Amino acid sequence: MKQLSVNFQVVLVAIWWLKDEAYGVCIRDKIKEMTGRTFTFGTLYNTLDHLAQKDLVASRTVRILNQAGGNKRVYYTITKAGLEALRQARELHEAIWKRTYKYSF
Amino acid sequence: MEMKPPEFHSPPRIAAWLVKRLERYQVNHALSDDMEEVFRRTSREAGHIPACLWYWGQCLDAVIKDALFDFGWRIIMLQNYLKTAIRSLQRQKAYSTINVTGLAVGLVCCMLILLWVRDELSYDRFHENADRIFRVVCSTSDDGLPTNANGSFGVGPLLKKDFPEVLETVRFRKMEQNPRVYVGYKDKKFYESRFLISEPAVFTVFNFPLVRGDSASALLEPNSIVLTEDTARKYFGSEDPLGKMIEADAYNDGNLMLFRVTGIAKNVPRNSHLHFDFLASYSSQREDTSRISGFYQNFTYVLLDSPRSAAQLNNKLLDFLHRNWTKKPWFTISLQPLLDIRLRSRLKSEIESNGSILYVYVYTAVAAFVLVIACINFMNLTTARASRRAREVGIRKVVGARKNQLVQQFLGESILLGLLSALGAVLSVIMALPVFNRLTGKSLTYISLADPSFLIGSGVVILAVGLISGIYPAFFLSAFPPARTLKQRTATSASGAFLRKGLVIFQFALSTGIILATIVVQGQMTYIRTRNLGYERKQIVVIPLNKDLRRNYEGFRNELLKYAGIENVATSDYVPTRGSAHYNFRFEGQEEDLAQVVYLVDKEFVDTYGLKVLAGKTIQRPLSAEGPAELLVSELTTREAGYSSPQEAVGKILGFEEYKGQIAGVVNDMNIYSLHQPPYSISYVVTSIRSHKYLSLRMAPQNMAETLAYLRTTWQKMIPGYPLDYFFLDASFEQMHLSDKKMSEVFSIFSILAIFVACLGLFGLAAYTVVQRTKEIGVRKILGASTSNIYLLLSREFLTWVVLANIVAWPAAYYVMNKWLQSFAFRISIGWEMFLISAGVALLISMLTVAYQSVKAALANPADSLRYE
Repeated sequence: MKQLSVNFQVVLVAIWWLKDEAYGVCIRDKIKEMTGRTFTFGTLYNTLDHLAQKDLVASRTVRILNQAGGNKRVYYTITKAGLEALRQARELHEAIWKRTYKYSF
Repeated sequence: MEMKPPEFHSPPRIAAWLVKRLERYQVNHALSDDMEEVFRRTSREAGHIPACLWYWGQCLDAVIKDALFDFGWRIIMLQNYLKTAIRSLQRQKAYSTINVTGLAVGLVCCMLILLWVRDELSYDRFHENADRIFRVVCSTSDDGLPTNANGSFGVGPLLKKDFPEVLETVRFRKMEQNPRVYVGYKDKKFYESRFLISEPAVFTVFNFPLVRGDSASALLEPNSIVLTEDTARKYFGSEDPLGKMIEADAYNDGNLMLFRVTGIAKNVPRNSHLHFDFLASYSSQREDTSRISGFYQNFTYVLLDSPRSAAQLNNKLLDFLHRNWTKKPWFTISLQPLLDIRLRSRLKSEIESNGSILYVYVYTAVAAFVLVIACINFMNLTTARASRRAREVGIRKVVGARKNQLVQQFLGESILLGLLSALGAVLSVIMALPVFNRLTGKSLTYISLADPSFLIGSGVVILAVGLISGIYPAFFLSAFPPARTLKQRTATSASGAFLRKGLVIFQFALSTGIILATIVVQGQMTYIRTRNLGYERKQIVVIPLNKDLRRNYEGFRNELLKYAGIENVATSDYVPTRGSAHYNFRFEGQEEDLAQVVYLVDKEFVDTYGLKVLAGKTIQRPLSAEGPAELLVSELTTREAGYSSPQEAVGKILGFEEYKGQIAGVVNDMNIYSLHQPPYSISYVVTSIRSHKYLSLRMAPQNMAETLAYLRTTWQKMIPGYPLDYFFLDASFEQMHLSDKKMSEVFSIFSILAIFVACLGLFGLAAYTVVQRTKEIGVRKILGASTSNIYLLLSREFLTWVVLANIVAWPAAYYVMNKWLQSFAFRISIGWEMFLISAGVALLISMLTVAYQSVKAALANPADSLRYE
């Protein structure tokens, strides 16, 4: 399977962290918390669309009555294939960094 | 009113609207809801304005990101569209060529005409005060409508004295209608036609800037003169012209005057209603110019404090004449806006010949027609062509193309074709401009094509044409049910065919109308060229008199008459087409004065001009001799004076100024001006050569070139001090109809283009119809139809269209052309044969156009067309 790009990994990890709470605003906030980087909604959604095309995430639309604004939310969950891709990505990372503790950058 | 709580601030409206348009984000991700949530949070924490800024930032980012998503795929689809577009263009080469050429030709016509119209409308607008400058025009008629562009000397200064709203006045004086003023500096001697006399205020009222000299004082002193840059170069070359003296025969009477050059003006812009090469100071004139008296070639302009004061001032002008001139004025004055002069003024004695708003309307209409015809064809052909692509549409739909993708594809294609045509059109316009300029007498450059308003205008036109042309096929085709289109070879729809037929009939009606108009215009022009004006216009050459010629006239005349090619020579103060003097006469038995044009002539004038003596005899006795002066009058005069026949008029006494006269004879009428004007009644008086300004010479019609060569050598031998300057009366007369002539030439060309474009349309459509009926033709042939049967079958339909088109076109064309003819005092009438000719031409052209396709279809082997059944 093709290796996931960093953006994909970040978004997937954020969704994994949020479990059932993963919708646009929360994912964006989580990414900010995890990496310190701010995603625009455009970037975030394009990434999500690409993930959806690869069947790595699934979405469901929920109508809500929300004081905070908006009356619709789209929640995302990671599919089995998504978890598998994330696992592979993690293995690759560990393989890359395994013997580098001796050296400081 | 309900106040919104602060936490319910809503996001910026335009951005929110934009965000909602991003369909993919809205459906897949609830973008606007998510953004609103963050917007409210930011608004609460950081304030409304940062939140709005954030919202806008996100919005624009999303727009860009949306466009970039799947960018690669989009490129691939675009490549596919382009490829199919090019393939379909290549597959139907004839169609594509017709399509692009037709639209390009239409655009070329439209652009050229728009350039022309823009130029016509730009006249005199370069003057900063253009809207506040008015010309004082005179009326000699009872209804007070302006009749004369020229007027009296004194009006200008008196207006300025009497009315505070008149800030400044400027007078221009020309010596005659079309003067040829001799100007000389050392060995440079020329006859100049743009020699005007004017006041210092000319430089403050108008924008005629000086490049050298002081504009306040340049025209103050008597005998000062301002030259334009080109003229200064012509006479002085590299010398400094300022302060130099030049001689000029300003009054055209042989008395040379010396002028000091006090300024150099910029060349007068082409789009000015008056032009000068020389501007002599007004104070140089010999007459008293402070009083109101008769008419001279004197033009008065006023600068008002505001454009609105003109209407009020107009009402006070009769009173003004009473106060400053006479209780019983024989003319009245009114104000005419400067910007109306070029297109809306056709008065007597215009300073230069003007254009006409009618021509602007006609040209614009023709441009619109040609463009409409071209667009109709483009639509028709695109539709016809597209219906052969029904299968492509079917396939695209089956593999998942959405309707708006198909619409985009076809609209894109037709806009692309439109742009292609536009490119061709711009190139053609650039190449055609020199020819067009020669034709119209303008000097348009393609630089003026680069004007922003023009560029935007043409851009909008091209886009609109592409869109309108594409919109029908785009929606028509994308609505096909795929199952049907895949089953059939082509798709047709009855409503589409009906629309197409209607469009073809409409455009053929337009072209028939234009053909009819062309025939009428040509007929009128031939009439102008060949109408008997009452004198021998083709053989008469006119030479302005000068000092040496007046002194040595008899000798020169005898020398000329020795040559067999010269039939007669005469002198006179005016010649037809070049100005006239008007007097009031009291005829015997009449209560009222009659206005008469008076020609001061010599004894040979009647014979030289080929005038026929209808009653009485020609005059022998000059005005200065003892006893009552003898006069010749024109036939029109006898009618206006109320005499029952020319014979009755002979011997009648008449009075003019301090003289008494007697009618010696009656001659036929002459048209001394253009055929737009009714003829004048003319009286002829014999005077000495001192008061004459022109020499007229009638040549035998054969070997005119040799006669002119003889004239030149004789002139050089006998009048060496002056350059020979002559003109043909015929050419001068044609000059008066220049704008008519140009109009007719341009009209012919555009009518040919319009017909060409219409034929392209018809050709394409015929091809389409033939393809549609291939099978039918095949079956008919098998059942025994002959080639001519088939040809008739196919042509009959087009025949009906053309006939219908004619019926639609005739009344409209008749109405418009009749209106045009009304502007001539002498005109042809529109006869039934013109209708028949135009119908015949339209029919012939359309039948020839259709014939190629029909014959090809009729000759085709039926086995080919039926093979697939």
